[in-house]
Amino acid sequence: MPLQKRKRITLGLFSLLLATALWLPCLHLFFRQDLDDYFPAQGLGARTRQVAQRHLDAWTRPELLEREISKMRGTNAEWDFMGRSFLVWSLANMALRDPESSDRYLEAADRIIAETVRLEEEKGHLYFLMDYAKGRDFQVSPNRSLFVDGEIALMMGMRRVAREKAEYAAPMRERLDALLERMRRSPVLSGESYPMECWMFCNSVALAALKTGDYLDGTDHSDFFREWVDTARQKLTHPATGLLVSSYTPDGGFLDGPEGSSIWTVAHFLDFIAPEFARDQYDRARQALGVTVAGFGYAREWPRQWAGKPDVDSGPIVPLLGASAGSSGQAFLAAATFGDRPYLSALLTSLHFAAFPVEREGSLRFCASNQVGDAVLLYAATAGPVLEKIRKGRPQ
Amino acid sequence: MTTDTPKSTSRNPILRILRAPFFSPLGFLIRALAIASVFGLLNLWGLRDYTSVVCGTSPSGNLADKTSILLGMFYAVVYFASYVGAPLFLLAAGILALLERRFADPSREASVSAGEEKSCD
Repeated sequence: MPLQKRKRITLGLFSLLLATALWLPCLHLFFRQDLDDYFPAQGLGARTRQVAQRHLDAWTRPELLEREISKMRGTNAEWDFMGRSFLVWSLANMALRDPESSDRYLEAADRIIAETVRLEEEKGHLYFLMDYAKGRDFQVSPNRSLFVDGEIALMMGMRRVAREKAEYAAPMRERLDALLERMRRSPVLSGESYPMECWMFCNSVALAALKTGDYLDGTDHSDFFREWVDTARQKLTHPATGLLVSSYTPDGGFLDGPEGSSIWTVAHFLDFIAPEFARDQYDRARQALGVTVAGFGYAREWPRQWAGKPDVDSGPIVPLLGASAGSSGQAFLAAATFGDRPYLSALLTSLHFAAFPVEREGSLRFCASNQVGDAVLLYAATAGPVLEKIRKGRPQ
Repeated sequence: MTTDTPKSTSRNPILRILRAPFFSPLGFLIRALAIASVFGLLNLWGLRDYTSVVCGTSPSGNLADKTSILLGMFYAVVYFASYVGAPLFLLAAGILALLERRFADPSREASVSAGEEKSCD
């Protein structure tokens, strides 16, 4: 039915506007997930098993693994390493959540640890770092990275918490002693991940590894933990937000401000040694970086009070929204750790909308992510039982 | 007010559909179907795997492989258009059809009908 042109355009624009107002608030309903499929209080969720299957498949099919790893190393060699760490930490927690399948999970964890240590021995301690690590010396010699020592120590530690494996005790202790000594030599009690660069992410992992070592071997670093938290509060906190900064020199000079690709995971690992401080960091990060809109959730990389530049950690930043894949992925871990289920649900909705999920042969992966991204999600969905066991302490 | 002679008065039904003005129920419907069709084709082509560019990972492992990156970005744009844009056009088509019925100009309707009858003679 023809109408006068101006009238037709006006009605058309109004129709589009009304359709937008009706559709956008409903869109999230088509992507909403049952939280218990990923984050059940006990056991493993159905979706979590599918995500785990994707990783277990990769580690049993060398050609698949090789392809995944080469894709990630093409961008960042660290992702190859972190994909292993997050997966082993997940498998240790999964073994406690699902004792019937624990043999299978721990065998996979052992295979990954063995392969990682072998690569480190064959190709050098800095093999899993980006190339610029090799250009200069670390302030503390010999050239060793807290990133590598901390994550490997925590891999071995979580595996031992799930079920003791005597072979890991000595190499784990060796790495813990080395990293503790390096941390103590810095005025801000932090070890270098790269020459002259301390990363909060790696230091929080190292602290969690020390705490795990305390539980396993009967050592006690509680004084060091208290001292570290006091120092961090005073010298490593961004004044405007109260958030821990992302990277700094061994003397405590800020290199980066607070970043989403760091702070969410930092809050999770600080929960091992200082739960109240960790919770405070989460609440501040949630306020400064967490966003929920129309049923969707995402995380920004930087608070409004800090202007950063996109890098390999943040991933590309979505214009206007400021959403960062790196920050949003790690927000899962913190939201799960601190029981923020409304935010978790909103993040999950976004994941199924914007991360292009693919289900194939009983496994689930997200095309917009990579192996390390999916491993962070798996760890977010499984973490808890290891820390719970550590908190309970060993039977006297 | 300018008078509007819609392009959709052709007797060929396919041409009539394709030439429907943008701000018309048929025009909106065609946009919705076009987006959905392109999305279907891209899925058949297997381009979903290329969206790893979103997290900064090259689908082929080679950061210099611009074609893969462009394909991944193109898929992502069409994907969001198909979930946000296509249903929106579909809804808008229905709303506009109802509005047109409600706000139809009776005198113009009569003159157009008369014109159509004349042209049939």
